Amino acid sequence: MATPGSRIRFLLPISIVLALILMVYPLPLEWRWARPELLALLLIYWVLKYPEQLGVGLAFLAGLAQDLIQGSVLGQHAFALVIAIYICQLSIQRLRSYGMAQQVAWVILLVGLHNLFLYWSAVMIGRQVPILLFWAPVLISAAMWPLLRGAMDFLRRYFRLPAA
Amino acid sequence: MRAFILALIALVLVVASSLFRAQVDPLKSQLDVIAVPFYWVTDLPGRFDAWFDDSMVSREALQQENRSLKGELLILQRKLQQFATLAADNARLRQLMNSAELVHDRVLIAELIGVSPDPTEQVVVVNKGSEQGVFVGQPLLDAYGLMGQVIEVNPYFSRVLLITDSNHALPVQINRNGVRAVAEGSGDLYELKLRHVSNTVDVKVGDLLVSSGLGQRFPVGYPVADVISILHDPGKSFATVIARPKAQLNRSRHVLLAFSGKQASEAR
Repeated sequence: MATPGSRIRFLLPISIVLALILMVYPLPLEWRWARPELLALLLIYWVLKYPEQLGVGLAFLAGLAQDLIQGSVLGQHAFALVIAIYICQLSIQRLRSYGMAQQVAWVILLVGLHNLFLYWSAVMIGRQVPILLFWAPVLISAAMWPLLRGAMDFLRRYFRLPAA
Repeated sequence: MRAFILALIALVLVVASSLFRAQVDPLKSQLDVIAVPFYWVTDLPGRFDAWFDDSMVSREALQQENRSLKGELLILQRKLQQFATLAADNARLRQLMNSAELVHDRVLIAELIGVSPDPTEQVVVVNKGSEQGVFVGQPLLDAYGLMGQVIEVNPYFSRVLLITDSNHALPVQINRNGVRAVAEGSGDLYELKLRHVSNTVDVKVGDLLVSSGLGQRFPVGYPVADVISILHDPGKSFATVIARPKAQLNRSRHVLLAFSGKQASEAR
C-alpha cells in the first residue's frame, strides 16, 4: 500500500502532464482565445491544498515545461506562473475560507494577473495583443474553476489523498 | 524571497532568449525533444479520424471517389500538356532576354500536427524536421498558395510562422502587371495588408498577388493572396490595400515544404 505522500507524487505529475496536453491540443486559429489557462488553474488548486509542500518552485518548473512544449519564449510562462502562485500563496487563508462564488472572483484576479504578465512579456518581445480578447481566457478560466475543483476533489478522494 | 528570485530568473530567460537567439536556439531545439510525445498525443484524434476515413468507407463511395479523381486527373493532365509547351516557350523567351532560368522546386509533403496555443502568434507545427532536411526559412505551401516559413526546426518537427502573423512580411508582385509590394500580416487570419502602395499605383480589386522572390526567401511565382479592398484616403500618403490569403491557413492539413533557391542548396 502506497503512502499518501507517494500518491501525491503520483497524481500531481499526471495531472500536470494532462493539463499540458490540453494546453497544446490544437484549436482552430481563431478559437485559441477561448482556451482556459488550465495549468495555472491546476497549480492554484494544488498550492491551495498543499501549501506546505508545493509552491513557486513547482510553478517555475511547470512554467518552463509549458514554454518548451508550446514553443513560446523560454521563461514566459514560468514568469507568469511564479507571480500568480506567489499572490495565491499570500492570499491562501482568505481563499480557503471563501465560498465558491468568492473563489471564482479571486481566480479571475489570479488568472488575470497571470495573463497580464504573460502578455506583458509577449509585448516586450514585440507581439501585438488585442486588449479586448485578453479578457476571454481570464473569464473562461474562472468559469472553469468550479469544474476543475470538483474534478480534482473527486480524484483526491478517490486516491485517498490526505486533506493536508 | 524565493518567488522573487525565480521570477527574476524567468524574466532574465525571456530577455536572454530574445537577445541571444543564436546561442539559445540550438539549445532550445535540443530541449524540444520533450515536446514530441505531447504533439504525438494531441495528434491522435486527427490521425484516428484520417484512419477512420480511410478504412470505414463503403465500396460505392470508394468507386465514386475513384471516378471523380480520374476525371480530375484527366483535366489536370490536359492542362499539363499546355504547360509543357508554355514552359518551353518561357525558357526560350528567357534565353532571348538573357535572364535566369526558372528552376523547378523540389517539395516535401508534410502534415500539420499542431497549432501554437499562444493566440498572439500564428504559428503551426508540421511533422517534418531537420532529419528530413527542413531548414529555418523554408517556405511552406498548401494546394492553394503560400502559407508561411519555418522559424524553428528540430530533428522531429518544425514550427512555421504563417504569412498572416503580425510579425511577418513578404515581398509580392501583382500578377497582372508586375508591380511590387510588401504584404504584411495583420494578425487576422483572413487579411494581409500591402505596405507603402502609393495612391497612383495600378492595383485593382481581384488582382492576384504572387511571391516576387525578392528577399530570396520565398520562390518566385507562388500565389499569395487576392486583393479584396482598396481605400484611397486623400489624407494619407499611401492607399490601404487589403488582400485575402489564397492558402487555407485554417484548414489545410496536408502541406508542402519547398526546396528551392540558395538556402536549399546550402542546407542540403
